[in-house]
Amino acid sequence: MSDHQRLANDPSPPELGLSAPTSGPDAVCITCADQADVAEVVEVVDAHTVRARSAAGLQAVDTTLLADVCVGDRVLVHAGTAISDLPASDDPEGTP
Amino acid sequence: MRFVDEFRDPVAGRAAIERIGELARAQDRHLKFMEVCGGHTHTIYRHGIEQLLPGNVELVHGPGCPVCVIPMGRVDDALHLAAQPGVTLTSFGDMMRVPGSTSTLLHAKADGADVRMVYSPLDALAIAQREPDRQVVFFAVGFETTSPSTAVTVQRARALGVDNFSVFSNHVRIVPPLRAILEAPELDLDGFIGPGHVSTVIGNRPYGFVPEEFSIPLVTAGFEPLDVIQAIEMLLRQYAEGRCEVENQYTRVVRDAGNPRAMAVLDDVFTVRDTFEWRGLGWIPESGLAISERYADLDSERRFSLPGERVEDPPACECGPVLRGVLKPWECGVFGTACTPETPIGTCMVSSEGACAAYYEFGRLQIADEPDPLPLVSADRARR
Amino acid sequence: MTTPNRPDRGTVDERIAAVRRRRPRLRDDRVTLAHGAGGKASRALVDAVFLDAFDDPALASLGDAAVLEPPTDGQRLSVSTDSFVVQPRRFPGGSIGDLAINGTVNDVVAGGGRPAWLSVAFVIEEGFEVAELHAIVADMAAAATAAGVRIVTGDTKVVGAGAADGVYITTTGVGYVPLGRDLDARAVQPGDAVVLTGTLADHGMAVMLARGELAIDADIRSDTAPMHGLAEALFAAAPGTRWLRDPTRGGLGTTLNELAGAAGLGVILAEEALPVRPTVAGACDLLGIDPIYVANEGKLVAVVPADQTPDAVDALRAHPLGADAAVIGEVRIDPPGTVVMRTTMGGSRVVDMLVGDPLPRIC
Repeated sequence: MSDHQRLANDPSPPELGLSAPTSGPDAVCITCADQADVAEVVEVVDAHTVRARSAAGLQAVDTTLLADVCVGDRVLVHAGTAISDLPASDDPEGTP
Repeated sequence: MRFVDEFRDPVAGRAAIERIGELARAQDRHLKFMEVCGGHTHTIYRHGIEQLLPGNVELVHGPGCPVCVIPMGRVDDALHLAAQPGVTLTSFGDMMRVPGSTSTLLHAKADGADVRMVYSPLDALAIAQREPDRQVVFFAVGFETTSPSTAVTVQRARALGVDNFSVFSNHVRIVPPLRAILEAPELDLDGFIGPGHVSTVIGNRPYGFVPEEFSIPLVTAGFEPLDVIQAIEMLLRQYAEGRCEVENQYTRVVRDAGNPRAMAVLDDVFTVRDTFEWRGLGWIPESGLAISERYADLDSERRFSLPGERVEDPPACECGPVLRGVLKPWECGVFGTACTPETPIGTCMVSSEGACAAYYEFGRLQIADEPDPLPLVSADRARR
Repeated sequence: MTTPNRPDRGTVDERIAAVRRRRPRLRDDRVTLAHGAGGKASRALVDAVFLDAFDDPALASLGDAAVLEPPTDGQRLSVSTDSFVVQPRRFPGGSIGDLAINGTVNDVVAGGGRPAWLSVAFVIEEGFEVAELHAIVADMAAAATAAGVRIVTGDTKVVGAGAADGVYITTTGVGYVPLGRDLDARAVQPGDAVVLTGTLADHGMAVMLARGELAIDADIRSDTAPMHGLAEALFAAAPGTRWLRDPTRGGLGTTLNELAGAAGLGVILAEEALPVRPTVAGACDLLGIDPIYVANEGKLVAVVPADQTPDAVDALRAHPLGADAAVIGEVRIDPPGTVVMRTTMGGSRVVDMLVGDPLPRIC
């Protein structure tokens, strides 16, 4: 390592001039984060677009990455794209 | 939404915490688990999970925050792009505040550059279609959760013949930094809480080397508090039962094989770079994704001439050791003094997924200050 | 050749005088700079848009100032001013007009006042549609009636196209504070309860979704409403109420941090007690926002002595605007100046002040 240790000995202060506003303490950048939401397909719009309902409401979702998408399917949405489909029904026990 | 509520159930959570207590007592040694994802870090702080764990179970925060690992030089390149006449630079929100060597995208925007936040790369493509006179660049960051969206967008741009759109790819892969962390001598880890949504794309198989080569268990986990707690329990149970393997806590979402279609689209649109620089971690072989030859015309790095200069991290900033889990956020010399969420020096303080920002916002409560469980007697009476 | 029947000079003068007596009529579809120049066009706009809708004798006199009765019996005044620039101007559950009245009314209420008078000032961008102005002013008139306040004075300015974004409204409110009502963070005691009058984050999320940047379609409505009746119900049931605020910009988290700071005490919240509508919670999750930092426009948060809390909550719940009222936490000595959330999972975390941009990231 390391650039880090080498740089730690550099006496010059960072010249950054930073005063950018930040988001709130709990404002997560959901796309930068590894965050994704489950949504249920309510309408197939075209070959690669559906409308899907999540807890938040309806949104348009790109489904290029999924094989066959039908109304009622549950998909995992990240950055406007369905990155995965989900098992067909809720397992009430949830996890192993 | 029931789907989520189940995984915030306090009764189940407390029961799992008790089991964790028993399992940890039986271990009779200190155990250090790294959560790879910034999303996990956020959940852990937001729900106060760290304080619920037994004293000999320690969580360290890994490099899985895509904003946190972007080196300054790449931000400078994005600022350079934003400064070109006719260019509209689009990016996700958190990238707006990441400091380059002299400025941020937010400052550039205030100074008149056309910088816009988007929720999806497809939105950036839509801007290009709406405004054919602009050169629209998407400043792409993220792990395999996000790179498929970018890949789909690049394919769509080609199919639609949109020629005023390009992607400045800074996409990264999750496995190479895991290996780099495991090979670093100073960190002594006993387990990984593996990435949830990345694994919906790449599956669980790529993590096989972690137990096989390094004898460390890994449990892929979701992002609700109960997910993280269960993953910790599963790691401890592996120790109790003498196992060491890759396990999947997030079965409701993650398949072992991942999403082969998404992988195929990634293979089509991206090519693995020989090496890529990570903030704090240095250069890691095969860790970055560039736009492939097939889509060279949609690659901002080929369309524009970029300075591409390497910029050293600010000397005061100890993001590197923090990202490797060697330093706790508050052990950094500038934490909370020169480096705060209002004036971040290091990227770990920029994104609320970053270990420093998460600790700054949520974690400062010392255990000694911790209040007793809230009785809320008056509330109960009022709710009768 | 016949001589036309020419009117005599007197008749002409009379006609002119009659025309001049007539109220100038607003014929334009859009506001122009002339409407702000103080001449006939200004008068026409004021007459047609504002006087008709607001219909108050003090306003109709068009004097330079409203002259009003002073408070009696040593009552004090609660005075507040606020500017409203919301985009979009109309959103599910309300409009900039509703906010301009309710926002200031609620600030007066949070000061302990019974709202009585309002002044309103408009800054209008050249080219603004008169029809939309009518609609906004109608919302304001209805909101003022609902809040029981008189609009007694006002002002209108027109600025060039591009110098403002549509219309900005500034309102100033005045209310009487009844004798003995003394709200002060320094009066807050350890052991007091923190009471919230309803669900969090409805307004902020409604506006955010109405901006249409998020491509999400959800049934979320702003909670904008005047809080005067609810506050009086609270004061009647809990006369010892020590502190009252309406958690608008920055949300509950920011407001309670201000309380903790001013009182030098700790505020401990119970996560499971915070009321949030399921759709709003879902939208917040999706967008990565904590509802505790999202603006409300129809809620109050109060600190009430513990022994008066059950009565306070019962009274609030009996009011149409307080059905979801709940005790959400309590005041402690430790940790001073800090808001702590006891999470559903049993952990705890600091709830910090909202830093910087009050609007959450869209990504």
